[in-house]
Amino acid sequence: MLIEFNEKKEDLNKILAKGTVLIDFWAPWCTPCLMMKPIIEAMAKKPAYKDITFIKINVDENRKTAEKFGIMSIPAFFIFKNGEKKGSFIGTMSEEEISEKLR
Amino acid sequence: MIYDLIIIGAGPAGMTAALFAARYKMNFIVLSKNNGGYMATADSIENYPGFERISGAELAEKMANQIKKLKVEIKNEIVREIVKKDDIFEVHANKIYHAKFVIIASGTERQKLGLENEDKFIGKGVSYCATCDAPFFKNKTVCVIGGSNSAVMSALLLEKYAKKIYLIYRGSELRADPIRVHELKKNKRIVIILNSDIKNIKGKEKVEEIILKNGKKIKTDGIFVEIGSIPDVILTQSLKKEGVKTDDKGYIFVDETKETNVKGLFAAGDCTVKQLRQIITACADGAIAAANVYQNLKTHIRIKSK
Repeated sequence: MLIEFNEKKEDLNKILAKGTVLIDFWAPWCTPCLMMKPIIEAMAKKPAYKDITFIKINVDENRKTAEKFGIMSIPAFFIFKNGEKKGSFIGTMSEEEISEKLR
Repeated sequence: MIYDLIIIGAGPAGMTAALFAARYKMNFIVLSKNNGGYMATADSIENYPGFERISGAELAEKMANQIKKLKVEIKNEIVREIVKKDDIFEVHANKIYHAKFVIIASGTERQKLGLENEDKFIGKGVSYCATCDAPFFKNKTVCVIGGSNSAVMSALLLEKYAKKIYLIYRGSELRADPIRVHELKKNKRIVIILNSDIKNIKGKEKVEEIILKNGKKIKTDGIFVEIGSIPDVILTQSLKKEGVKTDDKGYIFVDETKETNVKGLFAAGDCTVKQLRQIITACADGAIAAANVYQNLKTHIRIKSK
């Protein structure tokens, strides 16, 4: 499942509370973020990741959330399991590498 | 299935090789971990003929669109190993691909400072991509480390956001093009510190201060590392096993046809030993490599070893 997050409408904590979640902080002016876009979107459609929630957060449109996470570099990824932060990483990565981190 | 050619990398060298290979009607694929390579992260390119000023992302997209129209297949896969068996190359990515010829155009990866606590501060002030991260440093103080075109371009880009920028370079003179250095020196908010290098990063959660080798301390919110690049480390190790000649940093030696010392294995662009690493020279390398692969295919010159 892929969610385009909007901080004005949604409560992030609620989404994070259940199951495995991968957050992708991005911006349209960040080329490495755009390189990651098709990879994340393709992953979200694959049956192998059907239990994982993918959340894309545009830092321009969700400034408060980006600030809360202390974002200073993008693309930035965070992995949450049942509300608990399990890891984070920065920069471009292949599907294989992301998949390993999700395990 | 045995391809005529596998191109590794989709930066300017790989995409130009693909453009030529497609026009030669070769049976080939491109394997790349991204589209556009290092070029795509450049904020502005002003030395590629035909474009007075274009962003790296835009130029990368134009190149990609041009080859996509020729139905070139680009697979998002990381190549970890190349093995030559009975005149055929095995290219190990998500699966093993086979080809008569290979062009390595895998470019380079950003070099880190090599400081003990550098990794701890990645994403917490340490950045390797000014075009990605500059907007996070609005009204802040930042340091750019390096003296190349990339370093100067980063400093000029950061100037649009940060209140103060230090450009710190270990050499006595900046290596960037004089036209860019001139622009840099005109700017009063950019302080150039030469003959100096970073020794340590200090900070609790985020970067707060850097210490230079001469002991000088600078309070800063960000460190933009622009000290150059090195070839893909994993691929370099595999090439060494195959007996491919590289220099001590892993840059691949090629002849004037862009062939390595291993027959049938070509290399083009930033990953090769060369004098000038620019988009235009990468494109030229890619074209030469593809043209020579085509010649070899056509005349069936297949000598087992040089």
